[in-house]
Amino acid sequence: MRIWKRVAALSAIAVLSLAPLAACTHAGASAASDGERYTLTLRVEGVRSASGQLRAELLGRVGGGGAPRRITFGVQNASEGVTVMTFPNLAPGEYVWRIGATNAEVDMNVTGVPLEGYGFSNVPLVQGGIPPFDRMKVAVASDATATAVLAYAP
Amino acid sequence: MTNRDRRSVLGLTAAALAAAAPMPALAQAAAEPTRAAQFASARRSDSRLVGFENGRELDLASVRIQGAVPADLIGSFYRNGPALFERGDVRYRHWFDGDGLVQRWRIQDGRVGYRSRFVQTPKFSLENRVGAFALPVSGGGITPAAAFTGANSANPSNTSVINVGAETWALWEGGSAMRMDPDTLTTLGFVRFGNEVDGGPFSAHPRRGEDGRLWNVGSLGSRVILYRLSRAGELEQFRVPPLGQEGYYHDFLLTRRFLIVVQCSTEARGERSLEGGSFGSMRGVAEKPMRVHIFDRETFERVREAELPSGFAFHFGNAWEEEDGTINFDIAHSADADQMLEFFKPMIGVFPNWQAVSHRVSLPPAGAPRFERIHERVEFPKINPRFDARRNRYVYASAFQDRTRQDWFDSVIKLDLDQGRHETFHYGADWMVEEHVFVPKPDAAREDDGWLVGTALNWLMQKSALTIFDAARPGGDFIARAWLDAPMPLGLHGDFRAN
Repeated sequence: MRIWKRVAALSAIAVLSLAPLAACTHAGASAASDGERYTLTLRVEGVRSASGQLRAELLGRVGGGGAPRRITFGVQNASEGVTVMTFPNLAPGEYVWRIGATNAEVDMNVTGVPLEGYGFSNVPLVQGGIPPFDRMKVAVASDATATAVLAYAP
Repeated sequence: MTNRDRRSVLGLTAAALAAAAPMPALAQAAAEPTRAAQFASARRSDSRLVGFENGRELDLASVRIQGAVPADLIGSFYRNGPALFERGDVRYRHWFDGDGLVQRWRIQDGRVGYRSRFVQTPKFSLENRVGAFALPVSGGGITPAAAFTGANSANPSNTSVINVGAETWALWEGGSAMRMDPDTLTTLGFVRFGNEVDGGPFSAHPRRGEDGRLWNVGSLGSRVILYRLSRAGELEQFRVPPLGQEGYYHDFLLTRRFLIVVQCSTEARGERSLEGGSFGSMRGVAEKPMRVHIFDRETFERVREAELPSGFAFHFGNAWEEEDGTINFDIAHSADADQMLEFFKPMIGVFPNWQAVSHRVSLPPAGAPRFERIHERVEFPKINPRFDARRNRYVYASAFQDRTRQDWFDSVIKLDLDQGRHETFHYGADWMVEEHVFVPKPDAAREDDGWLVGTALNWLMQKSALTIFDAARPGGDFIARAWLDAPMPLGLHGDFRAN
């Protein structure tokens, strides 16, 4: 039994593994249908292996308030060192990215620690769990770039 | 995101609870000179505190022998313990946070060789590289300056050591065991299970069944991981049952049929934590009984529960069962359950208040448990390993001969559970005695037919030594002593690998 199926509800990381994998580097569109659109380039550092794929879940707060909600996800073939992912067609707003790196689904151990690399936008040093939204957020009011650094459990 | 989300990714281990501090750049790791200066000041006027200074790696082909080492005692005695407490001017807050140093005393042909190596954990290697403490620890007080991805990020592998197949494992309790080469003490990497308990808590006290298989537990707060491993250390089975309450446990017990977890009368009070870590949040709860959980050791099904008087216990000697299902064991029990706080003291140059009293416990299938006092102030109980999970008569432990002494054990004691007698070897006022293990003689017939082997620190001479006793009569003089001619930090648990 894949452990993530049992513990997925415990971790937002696991949300990544519940999404169907796209075949290329596509990232989906924002929720808003009208108005200006921007592209955010996500630079993922610390990728240990070129095998497998990176998957990033995008959560956003669009329209100036409310609780963050899931906007879309992206899938990108991994490149050792740095992998770049692009998210086009985003409405102005605040976004965060949660990134997992694996060959298959995100597995976690019994304590909820991911058994693969993971990271968050604007977080250079992972400190265990998921940081607050405001620490991870990227304000998108034009085309923008953000960085995430993957960390791996030893 | 919910609090539950955060907890799951952090993990519920002790070290993880200390990970919530802000993150400066690596070069700006927390500077807190006061603790190191406080210890240094105390150390200048108290030679005993050498036992809490940083240890070091040594290689000695042979050391000085006093007496004659028995010709048929052949093998290696291993000891692990926290041994790196300071980097730069930063000193850890809690004794149990020091990085593990594994020592090996190799006994052959009447000679003794010595080797010590720090366990090259990911934490130790990273902090060596940057020259500073950079990862959160259970005692708190360290501002994280490196990625923390669960307990193994901060695993110091510092508590115990056992020999499994062709390997030696250095053990902590919050994360994985670390594999080492038994000869060179080269670190080989974490023990991997390849499933959802990979990287999970794994106690420092695995116990062997009569067939050589290993059992262990891992604490998940109000749940427990139950492990069964093959003789070679491969995971055969695990289960994660609930315990219904929180409560610390460091050791457990094994009989021919049962696995027994005894939870201390503690709870975590994070809002009152000393130094912000999990050790400092562990508080005794008056009137909360110790809870005994009894599982079938093969199926891991819960069999029954019982309660013992409120208190705290790090260690047990052995458990065995009678035909009617009565379970008997011994316990080093402290009435005061705030014991984890005691071990902040050595880091500022103060000795802990050892309070554990040896008790014998009987748990009948029905009715109230019996809880009988055996001997005052003991710790590190050990038995003849051939009697693990069988009825045993003798327990050996570190003890106090001088009742006025308040710093550290000065003796080893042999307790006779059947007769209520004891026999003590008093090392002396200038010694600090560590755990001693029982090594059966090759052709042993009686339970006490073996050697008692352990280390101690002579603070007056500033030298550590390995001493060998006749386990049948430890109260006489020792058989042989191997002198290191250098002091090593006071360690925790050991194991003997016979050749």
